[in-house]
Amino acid sequence: MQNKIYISLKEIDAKTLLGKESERAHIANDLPLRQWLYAWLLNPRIAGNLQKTVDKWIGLLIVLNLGVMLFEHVPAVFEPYKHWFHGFDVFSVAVFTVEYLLRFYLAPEDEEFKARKFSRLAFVSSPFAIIDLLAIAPFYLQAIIPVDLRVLRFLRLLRMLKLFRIVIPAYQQFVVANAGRSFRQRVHALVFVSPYGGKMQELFDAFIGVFVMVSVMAVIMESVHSVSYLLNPEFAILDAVAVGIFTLEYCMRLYSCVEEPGFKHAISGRLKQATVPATVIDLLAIVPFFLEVFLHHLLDLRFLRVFRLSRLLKLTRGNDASAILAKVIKREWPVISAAAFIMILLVVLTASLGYLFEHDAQPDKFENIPTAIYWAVVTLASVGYGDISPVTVPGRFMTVVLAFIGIGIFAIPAALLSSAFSDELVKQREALKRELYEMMKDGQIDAEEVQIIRTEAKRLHLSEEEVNALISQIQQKMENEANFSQLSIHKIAERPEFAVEHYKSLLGQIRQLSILTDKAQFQAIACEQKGLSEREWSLWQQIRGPH
Amino acid sequence: METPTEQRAATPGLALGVGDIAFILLMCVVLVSVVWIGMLSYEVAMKTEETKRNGEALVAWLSAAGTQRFEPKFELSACAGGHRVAQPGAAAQPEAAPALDESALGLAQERGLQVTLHAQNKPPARADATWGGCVETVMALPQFATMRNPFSGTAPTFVTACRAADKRLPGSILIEKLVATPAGSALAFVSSPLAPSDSVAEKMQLRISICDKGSDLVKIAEFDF
Repeated sequence: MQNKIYISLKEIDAKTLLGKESERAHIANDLPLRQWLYAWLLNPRIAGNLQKTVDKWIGLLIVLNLGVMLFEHVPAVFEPYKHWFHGFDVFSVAVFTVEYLLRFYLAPEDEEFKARKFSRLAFVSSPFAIIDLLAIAPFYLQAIIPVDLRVLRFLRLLRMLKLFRIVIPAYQQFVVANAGRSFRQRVHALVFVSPYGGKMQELFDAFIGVFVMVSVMAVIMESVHSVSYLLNPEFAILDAVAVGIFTLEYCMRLYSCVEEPGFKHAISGRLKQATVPATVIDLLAIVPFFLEVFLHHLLDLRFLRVFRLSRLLKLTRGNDASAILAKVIKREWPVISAAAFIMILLVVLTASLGYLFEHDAQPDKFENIPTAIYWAVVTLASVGYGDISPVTVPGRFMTVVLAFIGIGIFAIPAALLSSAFSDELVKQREALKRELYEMMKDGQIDAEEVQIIRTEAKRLHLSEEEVNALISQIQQKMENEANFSQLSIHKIAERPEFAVEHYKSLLGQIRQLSILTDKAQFQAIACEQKGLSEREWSLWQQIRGPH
Repeated sequence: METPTEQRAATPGLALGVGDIAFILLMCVVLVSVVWIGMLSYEVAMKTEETKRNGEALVAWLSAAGTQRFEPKFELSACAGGHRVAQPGAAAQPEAAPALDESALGLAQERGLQVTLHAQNKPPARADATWGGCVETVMALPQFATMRNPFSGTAPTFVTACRAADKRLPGSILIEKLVATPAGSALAFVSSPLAPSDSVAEKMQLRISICDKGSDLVKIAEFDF
């Protein structure tokens, strides 16, 4: 469980809430160079420094190296651009060498090695440093002794091991978070978003995302003749690898979904999971591969190949926009279906009239009503290809009228969707505001609540300014609540502590009144003219007190 | 498969049950299947590559011949360019008849051309060299005699079109003649399959394509012949 870290309400602002309070690390400039460099470049404990950026770019360079190594094995790609390949290799080795030397130089500042007697030696003999050295050593080795190109290429694959710098800490964190949990629960933590997944789950999602992008790019590039002509077997291998990964992911989701709330039953839970749109998309992403092999004699392979683009839909799992759109369509379905009905009606009527007026003049173009439907849709939707157009006077007159109607009718669903989409976002922001208000009621926000706010703000794409505006509104509301005079009596009555304060305030006001008013005239009106009852007069005297 | 239990959170170790082991086994089976299917897919890709190499070999030979066949000393008279006086029975007799499919023959007949199959050992009497005779001669050359359609294992078939609906076509070779259209046309040229009786006397622009596993067309090259 997370430790409770409280942020006082007075200190709350969007930067604190959204975790942007340390966008720029506060590192003293008068530090010794080595400490200063370590603090800026490699210290994982200083928020806002460049450590994450360095890791990110090194990771990207490693992945690019893998891609380049794959292309190096294709002579048709490698031969014409071998100077570029060599240049990239030199650049990569230069970056990795600088990284290695930097880590070597800064090892005495590293928490892991600083306690050792020979911290740099400890660094050099550490597993990560050995991996880093292996990644660059072959390049320098070939300069000293002749190495077979194939061996060299194989040795360069060792650069992939550098990714362990990112994976191993995430794995260690995952193991700690899942200690004592069953195998299935661990699989669940890996593939579904849960408090136990941590960085490892993020890496898993990123890995799947990268493969989705790569395989979709491959499908797109396969349609380019010059590319597919050169890389046909490579595309086949890539597709098999991608399908292998996606199939494993699909099985893991079905296997571990019973750990999800609402999918608890062993069989019906899994069946329910299998029918969830995101899981159906996962299945669609792998099915064409199997169909291509087993049903190629029945199905058009070009269709199956293009169908692989459905893998792109896998990315919607982590994207909320599609869920919001589906929700909006579901909510507005009665209106959308009514608009669709009117559109269909209009299309059929237009097509029928078009056929009636134009068939005799252009029997080839307005051959029958189904043909005229194409013309009607093109006209009403304001597309107007112009391949079929009316030539008779009644036909043209009707087209003018229908074009005007079409603009309005065909725009209805688009307008509906856009306004409903915007409404939904407003609703969700209002919900976040209410949530924020509930959290801030006690004057403090704990770490868990901060995390919820961060996730929601990210999901709703709220900027720092918008979150600040929300906070101001809520703070204003809370200040208003503190001022009883601004609240209605039933709101005050809801909270006894407010009621007591309010009562005291009223008594004070009565006393103030008794001091400021003309006593003789007050008594004359209250008693002689029966302005107050006896009981009220007695109460007035008690509150006023003796003068 | 076992039912989920919240209490399992307290179980030490991985606590593999029967369901978990079954799942791991299933995963292994699935992985093996994917690898197997991947290998099948790779084999098919390699067959397509081999078909492409066949097409490229033909492109290389025909385009090289295209630069020489109008010269008097060009040895393969069946492919020689230029018009000649008719000499019945003078056409080169191929050693091995390549497979010209029925559609290619049909196309020639549709055009009203008198076509006789070499399988009947009656080469056509003709004045100019014809495409059918040229292909037969070329395919009888040592470097092409061993050429095989990797999908069927037989000698390559020359077809007039790759049709996805026809699953007998993978690995076939399609040779088309490209004819330039008048300036201003929407298309720069139109293509038409070569019939065996088409004359090769004139300079031609050819396009060689192959049919891949799905009988879809894969263009190899366009060249002058």
